[in-house]
Amino acid sequence: MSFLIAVHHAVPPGIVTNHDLTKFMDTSDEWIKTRSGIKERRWVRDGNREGRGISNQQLAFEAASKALREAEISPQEIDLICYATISADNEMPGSGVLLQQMLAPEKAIPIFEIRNQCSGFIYALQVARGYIEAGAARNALVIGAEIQSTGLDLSDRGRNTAVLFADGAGAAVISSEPPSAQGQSAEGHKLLSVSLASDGTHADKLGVALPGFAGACPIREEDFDGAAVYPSMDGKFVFKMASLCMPRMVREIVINAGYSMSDLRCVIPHQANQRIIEMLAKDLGREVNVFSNIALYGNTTAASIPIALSEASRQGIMSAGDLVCLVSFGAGFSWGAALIRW
Amino acid sequence: MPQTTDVCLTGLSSIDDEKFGRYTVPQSLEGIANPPEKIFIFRGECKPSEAAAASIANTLNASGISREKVQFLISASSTPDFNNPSLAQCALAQFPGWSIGGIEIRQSAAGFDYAIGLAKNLVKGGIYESIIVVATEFLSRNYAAFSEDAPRSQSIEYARAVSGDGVVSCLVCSGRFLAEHKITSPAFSVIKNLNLANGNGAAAFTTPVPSTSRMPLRMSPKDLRLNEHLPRIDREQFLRFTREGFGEEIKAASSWAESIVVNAPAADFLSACGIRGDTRRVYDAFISRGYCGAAGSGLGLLALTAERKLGAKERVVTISAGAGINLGATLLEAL
Repeated sequence: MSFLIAVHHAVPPGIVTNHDLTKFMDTSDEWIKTRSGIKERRWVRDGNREGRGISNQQLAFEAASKALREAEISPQEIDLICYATISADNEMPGSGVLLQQMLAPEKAIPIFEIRNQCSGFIYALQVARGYIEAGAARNALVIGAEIQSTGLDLSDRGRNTAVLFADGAGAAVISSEPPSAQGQSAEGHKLLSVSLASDGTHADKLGVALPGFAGACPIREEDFDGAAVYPSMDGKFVFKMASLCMPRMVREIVINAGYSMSDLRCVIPHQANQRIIEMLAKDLGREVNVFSNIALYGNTTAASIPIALSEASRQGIMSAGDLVCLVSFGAGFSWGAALIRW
Repeated sequence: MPQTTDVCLTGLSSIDDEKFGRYTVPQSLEGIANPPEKIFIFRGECKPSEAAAASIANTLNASGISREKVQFLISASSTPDFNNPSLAQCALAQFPGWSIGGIEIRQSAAGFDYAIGLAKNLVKGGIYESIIVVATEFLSRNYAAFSEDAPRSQSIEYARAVSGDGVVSCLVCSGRFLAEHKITSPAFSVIKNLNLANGNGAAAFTTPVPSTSRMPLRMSPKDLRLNEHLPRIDREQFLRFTREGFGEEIKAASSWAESIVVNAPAADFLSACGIRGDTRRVYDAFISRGYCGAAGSGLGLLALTAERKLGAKERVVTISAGAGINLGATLLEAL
C-alpha cells in the first residue's frame, strides 16, 4: 500500500499580472482572462534583468521542506526522490540530485529525473508507487517543479503561450505507512491507483522543439531568430484532445478501481486552462468538485497538480474518506490519473 | 524455468548498425591511455524516436509477443527528438495506435540500469506485468554545434572525443508472463538492482545550458559561441567523486558475478574505483564503442551475450556511472 501523507507547494514571490504583460506584448487582461482564466502568475523572471534567479531546485526545496515537516519525516528518512520537470536548472544532471544536495547531502538514494511535461507529477507518483509496493522504498519524495518564465517569448509572436506558463513547485511525501502510523491523526490518504496513457502522433501540437536531436544539429545560432526555442501550441487542438481524454481517464480509473462515478467527490486537474477545467466539470456533473486555482498561478506544467492539491487540502475542499482523482493532460500527448482515498 | 514471481529480462536488442549509422575512429586523446577503439554515429537523417522504435520492434520480434501485450514503456535518454515532449511519446508514435503510458527518465550513463530497476519494481509491485525498456542516445550530435572559436576546455574536448551514439531495448516482465507467452528468446532473471545518486560530484559531469535559473533567458546565441550548451566531463574529478561516493557499492556490485559489463565515461572504470587485480571477464562498453550514455550498459550486455552464450544460472552484472553522479548496477542470471 502507498499513502500520500503530505503535500505542499512553493511559488516565487514575484506576481505578474495580465496588465504587467502588456508592457512586453500586445495583449490585454480581458483577452487573457477570457481565453485562459488566468489573472496573474508567479515568475522568477524579473523583466529583462540579467543574472541568476530562483532555481528550480530552490522552489522544490521549499515545497519539499514544508511537506516533510507536515509528514513529520526528516530528509534522512527519504529513500527515493521522483523529480518531474522539463525545466531543470542544468541540462544535465537534473535538478533532483541538486535538491538532494540541499536536503541530505550525505545520503545517496535513487533519484529519478522525470520528463513527462504536464503529466510529470502523475508519472512520478507511479514511480514512487512501484518502489513502495515492491518494498524497495518506504518514504518517497515526489516533486513537480518548473521554471517556465525564462523560456518564454515575450514578444507579440509568443503571446499565445507566454501568457499561460508560470513557475512553481509542489512536493508530496508518499509512504508505505499511513500518516496515523506516523504520529498524525488524519486517516490515511491511500493511493489506490495510477493510470497512464499517451499518444505521440500529436507531439508537434504542443511543446518546445529545440534544443532537440531530431535534426542533424540540436540547435544553431540562427534558431534563436525563430520560434522553435519557445513553447508552441495548437490551442484549439489541445483543448479538444484534453476535453476528450481527461474525463475519459477519470471515468476509467474510477471504474477500474471498483468504484462508481457517484463515489467520486473531488477532481484535481492539471491547471492548463479554465475552459478545459470547466469542460471537465460539466462532463463529470455537479456532484463532483473540480478544483481550480489557475487564475492565480497560470500553468505551472508538472507543478500544477501538486500546487492545486496542496491548496485544495489547505482550503478543506476534501474531507476524510472522499474519493479524490488527480488528472493530467499535456504535451506528448501524455495523460494520466491517480485515485486517492482521502 | 523462472518462478512466476521472478522479474525477467528478455528480448535484448538493438538496431542494424550498418543500416542506421557508421563507426568512426575517435580523435587522439592526449594523456588518455585507453581511448575507445571505435565510436558509433547515427546517420544525420535518423531521429532518436526512429532508432528507439526500430530497437523496440526488434525486442518485440525477439520476444515473439505483440505490442498489445506490453503495458508500459520506460525511455532513458538525454537526447530526445525535441526539448519536449519526450522521446517516450515520440517513439510510441512510430507504432500507430499504441497508447500505453511512456515515461522519460534522464539518468545519464546509469539510465539503462535505472530503467531496469524501475521496471523491476513496477512488475514486482504488481502494477504492470510487461514493460519495454529502451535507452537511446545521440550524443555525437551535440558537436554539430561545436564552436571552434570558443576558449578551449579540456573537459569539453574530452566529452567531444569520447561521445558516441547507441540504442538498446528489452522486455522486462513477470516470470508468469514469460511462461504464459512461451517466450523462447534468451532471458535473464533480474536478481538484484541498485540505483543511487548523490549530487556531490554534479559539477564533474555537466551540461550547464539551458539553465532555467538564468535571467532573462535560459539560453542565448552567445552560449553556443562559448560551447556552454555542450557536455563537459572532467574525467579525473568524475572518477574521484564516483570512487569517494560509491566505491564501496561498486566494489560490492562487482563481486556479484563473474562477468561484468561496465559503462562509464572513462576507461578502466573499475580500477579507477580501486578495484584492482580483477581477472574476471570485464566488458567495458566505453572501450568497445565509446561513451553512449544510457545505452552503454544494455549494449555492453548485448555484446557480451553475442560473444558467447551464457549457460543457465550464469550470472552477469552491469555497473554504470554517469552525470549526477548516478550509479546503477543490475545482477542478472541467465535462465
